[in-house]
Amino acid sequence: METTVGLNHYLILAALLFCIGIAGVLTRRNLLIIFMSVELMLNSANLTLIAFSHYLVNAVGMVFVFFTMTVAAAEVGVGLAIVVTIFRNIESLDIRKLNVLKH
Amino acid sequence: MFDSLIADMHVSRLIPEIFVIGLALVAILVDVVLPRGRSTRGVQITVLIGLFAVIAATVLGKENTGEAFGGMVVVDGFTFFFRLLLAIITFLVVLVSEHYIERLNIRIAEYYLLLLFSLFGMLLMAMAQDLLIVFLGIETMSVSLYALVGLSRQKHTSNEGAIKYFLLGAFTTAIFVYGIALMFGVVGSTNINDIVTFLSGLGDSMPLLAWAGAGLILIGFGFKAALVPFHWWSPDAYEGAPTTITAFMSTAPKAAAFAAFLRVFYIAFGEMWGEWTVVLWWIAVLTMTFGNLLALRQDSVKRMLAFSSITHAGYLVIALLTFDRIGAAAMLFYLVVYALMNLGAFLIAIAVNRDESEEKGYWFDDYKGLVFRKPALALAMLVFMLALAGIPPTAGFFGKYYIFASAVNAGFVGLAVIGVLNSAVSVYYYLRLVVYMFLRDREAREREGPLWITDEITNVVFLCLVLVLLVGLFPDALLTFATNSVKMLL
Repeated sequence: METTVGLNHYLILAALLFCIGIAGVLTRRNLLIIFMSVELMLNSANLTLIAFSHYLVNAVGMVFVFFTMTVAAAEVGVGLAIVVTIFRNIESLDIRKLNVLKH
Repeated sequence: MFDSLIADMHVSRLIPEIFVIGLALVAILVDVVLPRGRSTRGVQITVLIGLFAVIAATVLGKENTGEAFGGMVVVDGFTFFFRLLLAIITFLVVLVSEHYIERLNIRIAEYYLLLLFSLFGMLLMAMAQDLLIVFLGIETMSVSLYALVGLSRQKHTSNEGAIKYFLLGAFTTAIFVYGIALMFGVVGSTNINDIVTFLSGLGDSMPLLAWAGAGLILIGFGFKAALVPFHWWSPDAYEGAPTTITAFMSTAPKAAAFAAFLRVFYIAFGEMWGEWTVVLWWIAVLTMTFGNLLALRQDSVKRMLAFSSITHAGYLVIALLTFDRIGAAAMLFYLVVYALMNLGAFLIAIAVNRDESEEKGYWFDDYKGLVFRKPALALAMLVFMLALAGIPPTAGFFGKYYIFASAVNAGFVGLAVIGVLNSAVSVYYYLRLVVYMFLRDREAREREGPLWITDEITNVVFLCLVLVLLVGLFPDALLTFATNSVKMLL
């Protein structure tokens, strides 16, 4: 049987990636893996934007993706800097070791 | 043709924002030109003069209103209000910062630059008329704040606050963008005027995707304004950050988040408002109650103020969900009052905290018998605590009064009652600090240490004090200003 890939396929793929990203953020304990999961979520949002943009024949979504990618890059810059300072201080990337601040 | 394109951009309406970015660039040059060790002072003075110019440009350009950049941003009374509020808060924070960052050993010019960049992001949020600009504003603000929270690199608390803020902030960004993507899929545009036109054309057949999109965008704003259940980053980020930054973060970004929240939800999602009030009702109740219950059991003044700022966000949500002009004006009024009293309280906390090199600090115990050592400072703290608790004749009383009155007026009587009860609970922990200052002085002698009071802190605390009392005695002027500022929204 022949099927063509349509808008729904892209949207479902993006939704799945988004859920995988959320699951990663909630369950993983390593800072870098959490970080990667967040990037996965951002990219699934980008995929959704591009899919809609293509099927609506509207460039706004694609322009938005350029901005998201730039912002994500800036975020990575600051985020990795914070991760490096943490590694220098506690020599670990395990978030369970970050427990100085308590409720 | 090109000329008319440029004329359509109406760049002149964005002069305050352009000043802020230009100022940041000039400040970088000042830092490079001046000799090492003296450069931060030069940068601070440059930034203060520049921010004064920003405020002046805002006031002079008050009449130059309308859309700019093809409807991406809009300059109106609402924008004017937030430009003034945000620029003044930043000005005051920069004013008290120089000695503090020297004491913390983070005396670098980037401190001021990051403050300016985050101010720029907040200004964008207040004027955004397109979800793209809201997103860019939030990110410009947040990325600068992540770095500011983690600025004391040697301190574990600062590291920890920064990484928690960063991870949850980035997580929220992804949720927010996904929400915008879904909304774009439904509407085919990210402009909030297009969104409302499209959604109101649908009538009752609102697609599920639009609900999902608006819900995810709501979560994004909830995180940025630290509303329960999206508040987990805020106590840790507030405690870990240098305290001047905590004072900044708990006032200006919160105001900017509520500004964007109000504009997006009132205009773009106004059609869906009936259903969102149910969600926001619960968010308001949970935010007020959780913040209060956790603030009750804190031994650190800084952390108590962090939790109390969550509670105050809950009061602001009450004003938000009335969806009318009275409520919106009450929200703007409260944002100003809250900024004044919170800045004052945090600055006094800085002055009383004895050793900034400790990982923890800001203990309630440090305040024992403060009134006998520094009566003026203790009395100022008394006024700020009364204001935060909402007791007359301070501005805090009228702030809360207008919010609860607007809720009753809009038919949310139950919510107003819960708000008043919460306000009564909060009196306990604010007055606990006052009791420490006034009553227990027997054992205070041995804890006595030199207070850390600079001229700048004295001046800014005095200014906040005078304004809190003045607004408390004559609230009409500010209320009129707030009411005029929301006219074009509803």
